[in-house]
Amino acid sequence: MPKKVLVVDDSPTVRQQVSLALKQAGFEVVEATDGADGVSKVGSDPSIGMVILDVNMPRMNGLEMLETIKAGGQNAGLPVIMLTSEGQQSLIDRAKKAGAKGWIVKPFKAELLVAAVKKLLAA
Amino acid sequence: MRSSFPETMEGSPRRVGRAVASMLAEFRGLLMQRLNDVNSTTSREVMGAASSVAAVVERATEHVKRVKEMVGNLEGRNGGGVAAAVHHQADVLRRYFESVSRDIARQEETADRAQQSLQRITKAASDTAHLASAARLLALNARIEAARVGGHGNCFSTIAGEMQHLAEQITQANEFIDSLATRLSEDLPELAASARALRNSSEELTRDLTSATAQVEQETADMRNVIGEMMQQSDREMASLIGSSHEALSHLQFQDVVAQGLLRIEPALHELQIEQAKLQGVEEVIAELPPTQHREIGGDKPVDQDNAGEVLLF
Repeated sequence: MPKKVLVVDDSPTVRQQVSLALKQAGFEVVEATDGADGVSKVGSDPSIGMVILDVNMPRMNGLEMLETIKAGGQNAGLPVIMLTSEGQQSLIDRAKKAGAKGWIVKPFKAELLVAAVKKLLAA
Repeated sequence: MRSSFPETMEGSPRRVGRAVASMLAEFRGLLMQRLNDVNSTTSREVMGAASSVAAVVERATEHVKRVKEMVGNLEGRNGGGVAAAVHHQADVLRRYFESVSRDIARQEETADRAQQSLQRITKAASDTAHLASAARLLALNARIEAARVGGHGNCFSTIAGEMQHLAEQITQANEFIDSLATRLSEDLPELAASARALRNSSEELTRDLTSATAQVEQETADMRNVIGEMMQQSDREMASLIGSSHEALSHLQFQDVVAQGLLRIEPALHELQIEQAKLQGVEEVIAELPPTQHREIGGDKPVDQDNAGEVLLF
């Protein structure tokens, strides 16, 4: 099971909280501050096995990053969970269509987030 | 900080409109500066709190890991533990004493056989004594016969002498055998008794050793059970601690929710500036307005707490 998870969020507190929860569950974590940074990290680190992605971010939002990495290339199969305060069905449908594997509404429950990551990585 | 807001507002509506637009712009700048300061402070404090929680979990995890390593060494999971060494040594001793018991049993059997042989020797000596007696009688008869026949009986006299000599030798040999048999008959039972006593002691020692080894094994098994329960308890406590940490991390997300909520004021102010410019006929200021820093794809809306924490897996 891949153990490295990329957490992309412009909020440092959210990045820290997600990272700590995942690290306590035994995962290795790398962080990115927005979509553009996330695309760069995914492209340069082949050991990343999963992405947790915020939606509302400066420069490149989460849906744009999702669509970018799913558009092709070696990372198209990377499982992605969207982690956002957004709950609109149209956005969820867009993410699902783009290839996201999950959608978690903030504020998240850390144990449910960890459980979702484990489930998707085991699949 | 001293505000540059005018105390009175007089003049043409356009001039007033521009003044209000200017006030709103300054207000927006000041407010966003304050909000960013507040968000920065709360962010720093919340991250500090989360780090403290994480440090507690990390220290506890390290502690449990070290305890498990120590217990693993004590249990000898790799075959090198104290219990395994005791068991091995006891097994070696048990095998040694079993071997000694077997040797002693063989010695005892030998002593028994020697006693039986002694009985046969004693009987043979008794038979030989009869032979000596017969030889003496024969010698006496030969002498009588020699005296009766006179000079022609010299050969009988010689035979009688030889028979007498043989009888004496047999008697001497019998006396030697008899004394030897007597001595052996005294020593052999003692030897057999010593062998039996030694065998009994050895068997008793083997039984004690077996019992002691079983006790050590039982106590080791009990210790393993206790340690196993302790480890399970530690695992449960660690899971609980991590659960509490996750809960704390979940609660600490209030900061992001509050920060996002505060930042939503900026688009509202931006809208207010546009409306004010339109209402007071100073639309030209709209082009000069700085773009809002806070954009949400789903629009400006508060977090729907009913959906918070919801996990959808596709």
